[in-house]
Amino acid sequence: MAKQRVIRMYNHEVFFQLTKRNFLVFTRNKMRMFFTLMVPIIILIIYILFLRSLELSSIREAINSIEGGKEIPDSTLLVLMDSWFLSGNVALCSISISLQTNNLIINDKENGINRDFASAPIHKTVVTFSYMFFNFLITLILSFAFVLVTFIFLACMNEFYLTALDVLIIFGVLAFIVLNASAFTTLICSFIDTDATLASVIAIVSACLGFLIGSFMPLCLMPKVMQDIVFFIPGTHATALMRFAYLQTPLAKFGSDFDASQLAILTNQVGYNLIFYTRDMLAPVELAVDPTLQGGTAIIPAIQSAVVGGSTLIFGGLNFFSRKNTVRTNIK
Amino acid sequence: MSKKIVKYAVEVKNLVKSYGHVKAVNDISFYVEKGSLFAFLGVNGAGKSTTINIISTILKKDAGKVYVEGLDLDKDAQKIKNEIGIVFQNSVLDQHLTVKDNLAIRATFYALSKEQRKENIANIVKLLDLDELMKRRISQLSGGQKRRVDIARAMVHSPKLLILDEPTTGLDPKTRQAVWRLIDKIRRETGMTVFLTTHYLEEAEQAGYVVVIDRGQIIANGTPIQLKNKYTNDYIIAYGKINPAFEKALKLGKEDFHYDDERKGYVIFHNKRSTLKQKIVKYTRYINDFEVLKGTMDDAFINITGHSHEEENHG
Ligand SMILES: Nc1ncnc2c1ncn2[C@@H]1O[C@H](COP(=O)(O)OP(=O)(O)OP(=O)(O)O)[C@@H](O)[C@H]1O
Ligand SMILES: [Mg+2]
Repeated sequence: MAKQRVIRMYNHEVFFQLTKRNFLVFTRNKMRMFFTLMVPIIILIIYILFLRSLELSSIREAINSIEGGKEIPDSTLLVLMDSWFLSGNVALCSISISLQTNNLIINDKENGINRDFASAPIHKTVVTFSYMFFNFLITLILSFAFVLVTFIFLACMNEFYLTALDVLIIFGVLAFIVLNASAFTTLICSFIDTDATLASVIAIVSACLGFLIGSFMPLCLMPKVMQDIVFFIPGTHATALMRFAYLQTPLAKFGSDFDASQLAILTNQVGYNLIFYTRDMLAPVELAVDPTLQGGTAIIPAIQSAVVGGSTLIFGGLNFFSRKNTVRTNIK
Repeated sequence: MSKKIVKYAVEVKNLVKSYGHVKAVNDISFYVEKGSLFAFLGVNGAGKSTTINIISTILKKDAGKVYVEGLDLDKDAQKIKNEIGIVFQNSVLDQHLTVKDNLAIRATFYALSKEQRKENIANIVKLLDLDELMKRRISQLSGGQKRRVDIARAMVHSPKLLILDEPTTGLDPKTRQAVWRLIDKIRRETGMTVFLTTHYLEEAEQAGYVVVIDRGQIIANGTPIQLKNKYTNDYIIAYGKINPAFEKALKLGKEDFHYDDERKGYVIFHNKRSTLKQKIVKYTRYINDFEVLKGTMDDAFINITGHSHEEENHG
């Protein structure tokens, strides 16, 4: 019994020390940290410079053209639209930052540093999960820095309606989805052995992911086939969940300015709910108002949380089974 | 269970490891005596690192038995890890961390108390003279300093067996000597068994026991003196121009000789017929200037492998 406790204590200590080591190795390279955070900021700048006015006109048309709808001022639409885009970008950056941070795992494979772990009496499981936990911490810190950037942006635009509770919820959701991203990217990186491969994966992911998880574009604008596919990506649900955290208070605040179908669209289609339907689309408005019309259901935040949480557990478990790949070395 | 007295630090029996068609290690057996300085000598690709990685538990063998400090690799790999410290051919230090962080973090990989870890590190820092380097990052150190830290890293848990894979490759001759002296000092002061691999014959010459490996097989073993006695002859060089009369006399005396164009003289080998001294007396009227030379490990190596060490390195 006593011996078991010593071993358990020892594993905790090694877990903590390895996490510390990963953290130090990563953060000593300031350039890497800087570039990791650049991606979401560049996307934000592109949004401000090019996309914002374009998206405003299309959403204005969609909302104001609804039969019997009310005339909504641009200022209100902008609050919702900016929050929608920013929250999607936060969710996206949680995955892209997480993937880039795992550069450390690949470096350890390429430099053969993990042979040092293999030659010491430490378990592969401990090494694997210390990588994952380190990834969680760095990604959380960097994503949170980006969340602050979004707050500053909203404040500058006079669009900051979030309460203290909302900020707390945003932080909670962020931790929740970052954990999901860390478990996912660590698993991916267990199969990647070289920097070159990782760079290609990062390039591909950066180009596609924003569309695949609905960060840049509402899902309802995608072809039905694509919608069906992206429903199985946990990131889609993570994005929706983050949108809920950013949008629920502003939506409640301006709710009385809209009529029922406008509100349904702003909640279900360009809001935070996702609609999963089986039969072909009738009309977007009707679907938003009553998702069951087309044999579908609205995926509400509770379901999104379940998907994100469940997939985190699955990825975590798969990491355990893939631990040999995570710590394998490139060097003879 | 009675405590067995362990005589060997490492025992390897019929070890085999292949990579596809390449038999990296092909049925080798050897012992490393406790407390000794053991050298594994071989050219590039001979199978040195493969053998070492198997002993260090980080590579799976195909067949054979390995015992480290009496522990069976198949059953007690985890215990073996505690008994060995390994300096890899390529450094495994974190380049952006300080020497101190590198050592402190690695010390926690072994189930030691905080005090024990501190004490170990303090001892190593003293032994390897690292005091002034502790706050520097690895990336700011010279090759020789890095190698010292590599060795320190391998010793944080005071292992009984220190394994070094080509510890002096890539260092300048002076640093190589310094590292070599350091390894010798570590062995003397800690009583650790030291197992190292090298390309350098002059280094193998300083080991207590040498195993020569080539293409995955052991082709010679013994103390450096035994190897030299067995595989080399002492010889005389009689300097001078080519002299037909001298050659005739040598042929008559059934000597083993040839003219060395580079050194400009006759090389006459030791044989059973007479000692070198007797030869000098016998042919004294042909010899003006001469030198008596002992066979080197280089000669031994050429004789053992049947090919020159240099050639192999470049080919
Ligand atoms: N991972 C691997 N995959 C395929 N072949 C390998 C692998 N590792 C080693 N080999 C081959 O096995 C043989 C022995 O290699 P090893 O690294 O043990 O040699 P070595 O004696 O350490 O050489 P060096 O002095 O160059 O370090 C070589 O022919 C090498 O090409
Ligand atoms: Mg080698």
